[in-house]
Amino acid sequence: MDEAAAEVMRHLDEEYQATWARIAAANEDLRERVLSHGMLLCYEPDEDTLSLRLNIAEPAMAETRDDLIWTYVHPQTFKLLGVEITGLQDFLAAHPEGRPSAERLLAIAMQAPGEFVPAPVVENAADLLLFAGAAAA
Amino acid sequence: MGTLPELREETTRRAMNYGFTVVDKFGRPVTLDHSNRERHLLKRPDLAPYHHLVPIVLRDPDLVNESARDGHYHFFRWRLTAPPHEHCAIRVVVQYFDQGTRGKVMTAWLSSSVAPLGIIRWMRLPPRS
Repeated sequence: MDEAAAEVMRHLDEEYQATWARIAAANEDLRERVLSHGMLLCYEPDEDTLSLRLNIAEPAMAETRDDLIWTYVHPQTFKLLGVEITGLQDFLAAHPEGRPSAERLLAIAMQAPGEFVPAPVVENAADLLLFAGAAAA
Repeated sequence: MGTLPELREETTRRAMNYGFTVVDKFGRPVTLDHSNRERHLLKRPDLAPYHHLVPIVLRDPDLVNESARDGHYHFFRWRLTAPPHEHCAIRVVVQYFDQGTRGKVMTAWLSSSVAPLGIIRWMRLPPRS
């Protein structure tokens, strides 16, 4: 590889590692924030995409490590704001342990496909935190 | 092709009203239709101030990465965003059809990092000193 291309790749890798280190460090209070703000759920049948979003309006950027889970964080604080699972069936094939939680959340989201609906946070805290925690770890 | 400010003005006018078709970095026509644009902005309001720049990202990206998962092309362009997103790239995802001869914008958003996945199809190298 050309030295200039290698330098670009090194820079990209450093940025990637630093971003995920900041996300992990910034979200140790995730459980408290989920319980405090509550979460909204949306399932887009056409795109097979399940979205979880904290019920607060803040600027966001989206990051991924596997092209399956997209982690939405504040661009300055790196606090988690939401999770988007693009290709739910692909995700469940890769993470079958997540199926029971995903199906419970999907049942809530399917009350209004394509729209964000509130998830009863206390009853669903474990399911919500499973995905939010995975997205921020 | 006009200057960057001219190109921005032209693409703003078109994208705000009708969606667009633009020839991408690889010479392939890529389309964003109006209904898709509305859906993008509802889901990703942070992109709204930059949505008119999507054609520039497709024509003149800093990096293009082909996803290993689904073969979609991710176009990245940095240094077009303002605080609090100043360190973010505009990231535009394109799916190609008809043996790769034409594409459609699937989604777009703001992102600060690039996962080491897939195949890099193009990158802008820093100028040699």
